[in-house]
Amino acid sequence: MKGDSLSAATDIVTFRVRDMLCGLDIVDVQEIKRLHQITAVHRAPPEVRGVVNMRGRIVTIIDVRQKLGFEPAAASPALVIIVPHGEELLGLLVDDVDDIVRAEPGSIAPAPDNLDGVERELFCGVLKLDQNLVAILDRSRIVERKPRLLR
Amino acid sequence: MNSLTSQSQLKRNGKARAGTAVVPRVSADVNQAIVLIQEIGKGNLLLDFDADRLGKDPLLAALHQMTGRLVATFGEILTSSTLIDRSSTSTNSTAKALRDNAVAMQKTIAAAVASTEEMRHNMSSVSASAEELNANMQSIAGAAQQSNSNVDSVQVSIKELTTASRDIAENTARATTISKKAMADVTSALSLVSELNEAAQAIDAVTATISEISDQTKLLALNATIEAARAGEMGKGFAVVAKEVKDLASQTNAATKGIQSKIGIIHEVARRTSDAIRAINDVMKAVNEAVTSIAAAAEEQSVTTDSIGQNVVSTTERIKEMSNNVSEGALAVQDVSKSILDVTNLSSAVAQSMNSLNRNATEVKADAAASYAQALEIVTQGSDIKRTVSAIKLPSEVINRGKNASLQLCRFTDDFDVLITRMNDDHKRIFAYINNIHQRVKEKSDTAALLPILKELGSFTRLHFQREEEAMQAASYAGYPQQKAAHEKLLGKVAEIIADLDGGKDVDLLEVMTFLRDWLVTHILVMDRQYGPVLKAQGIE
Repeated sequence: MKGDSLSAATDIVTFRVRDMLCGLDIVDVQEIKRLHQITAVHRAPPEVRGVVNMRGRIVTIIDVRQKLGFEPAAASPALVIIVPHGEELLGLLVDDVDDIVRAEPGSIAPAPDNLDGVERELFCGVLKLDQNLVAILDRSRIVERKPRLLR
Repeated sequence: MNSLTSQSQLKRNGKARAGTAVVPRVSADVNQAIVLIQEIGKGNLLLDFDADRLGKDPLLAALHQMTGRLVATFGEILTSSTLIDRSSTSTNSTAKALRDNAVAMQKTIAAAVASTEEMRHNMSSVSASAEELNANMQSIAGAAQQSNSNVDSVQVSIKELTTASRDIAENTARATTISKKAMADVTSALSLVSELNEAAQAIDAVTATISEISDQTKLLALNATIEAARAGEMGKGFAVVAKEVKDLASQTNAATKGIQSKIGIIHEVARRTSDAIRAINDVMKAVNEAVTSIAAAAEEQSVTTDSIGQNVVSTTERIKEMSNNVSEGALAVQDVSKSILDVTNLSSAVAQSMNSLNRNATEVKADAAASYAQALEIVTQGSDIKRTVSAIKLPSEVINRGKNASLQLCRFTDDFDVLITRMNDDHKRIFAYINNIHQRVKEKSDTAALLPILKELGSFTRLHFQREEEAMQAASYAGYPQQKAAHEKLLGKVAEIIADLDGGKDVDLLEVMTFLRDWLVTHILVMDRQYGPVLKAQGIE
């Protein structure tokens, strides 16, 4: 999702990474899945937890915590947001899925510089809710930063 | 012997013998009479008268009579002086002994006075000590009384203590029961809390299931929403349903969380309650143990207190007994103290008596000394008389009679001759009785030993008086009534004296003898000698 696409109203899937409330545009999400077993991949980068076979398709599981520079998430049970990436499927391993909220046009502000010290370029904006702020993840950036596995 | 013919027997001394040689034979001659008178004047009474001439020459007869009388008189004087000399010598030694005894007695009495004084002093100190003892006993008695009342109050306290310890025992027994019941209650409360906890845990399990279901429902609703979004305009209706389902799941989740929170609180409260009950249980156990040990201690204390109480009771009895004894002792000591005071007073009186006795002894000593001095004078006088009489030449038989005269209280001399031989013999015998008693008194014989002799004297005197009275009556003597009265009076007196002696009275026998002698002498010389010539004239011998 690009910054200019925020002109129209959309839905944001919110979830938690550690104590941080993050979000993804609903159009980037295929489904939410609870996994019980992940097969580890030898010599994979640290943020890649492994792969699963989902209805005949291979899904690569990426630990968002590690992607954002935090310690690894617990092994299981694993709550994964399935995101299509071209012909592939990626699974973003998060701590909890929160809700799906409505984002009105103009309600998403650019990501501030001091965003908890994580890599700012992974975010594309901040959604202000009544009581919370939701850091919107840039799907393409997260996907782009996994070259070794994909190559 | 009126005719002095036995001149050859008179060998008193050389002078007498020479006198005898030179004295001429008296004749009727005046010259011869003058020679004789001259001899008498020289003190020579050893004269030889010619018996043949005496009848013829009145002058010679008169001289002979005079000489005879002189010889008799000087003989009496000689006898008396000899007796006086002997008696005074004996009196002298007696007086000396008396004086010595008086001195010794006075010394003894003085010592006794000193001893008595010391005794009196000692008695005073004893009296003071007794007084002090008395005071001490009084104070002991007071202390005993005090301890008596103290023990009484102790006894009361012990009784209270006994009651208190019994109360404690009862209360602790009750406390034991209560604490046991409380422990049972606690145990049952604990199991109730445990049941509550189990029930909460069961609810937990249910809510966990509900929570899981609501989670899955929520995930399902989210995926439906995503699916609807992907369907675009076609999925909008579906998106509404999905949202409703998601909201329901959220509500369920919230409700479940509320239940879980409440159950958590129940769990916490149950845990705390359980802990508190366990703590209470522990406390109750401790209380129970404490109460049990208190009950045991109280029981023991109760027993001990009972025993103390009994001991105190018996101790009280003993102390009361002791107190009474001390009181009695105090009274006894008071009596003793009084007695000692009496003795002290008595000893003072004795000391006074001893002092006056001492004064008497001093007087006795002075009297004894005086009597000794007088006795010495008598000795001197006696010697003088004897010496003077010795200068007179007397016939040897007269001299011998004087020498041999025995020392007697009363001597039967010629004065006592009543002319009746029988009566004279009686009188001599009465004299002999008196002399016998006197002699024995002089020899310090026992009065009891003299009583029989005195009685004999009494009965003989009565016999003699009868004889006299019969003779007087036979001669129709005029003085008979007076004689009879005098006799009766004396016999009465003698009977009185004998009765006194029999009764153990202290009778001065010397005084009695002197009285008898004086009475007898006077009676014979005055009354009896009057009947002599009358009775003789009647032919009574």
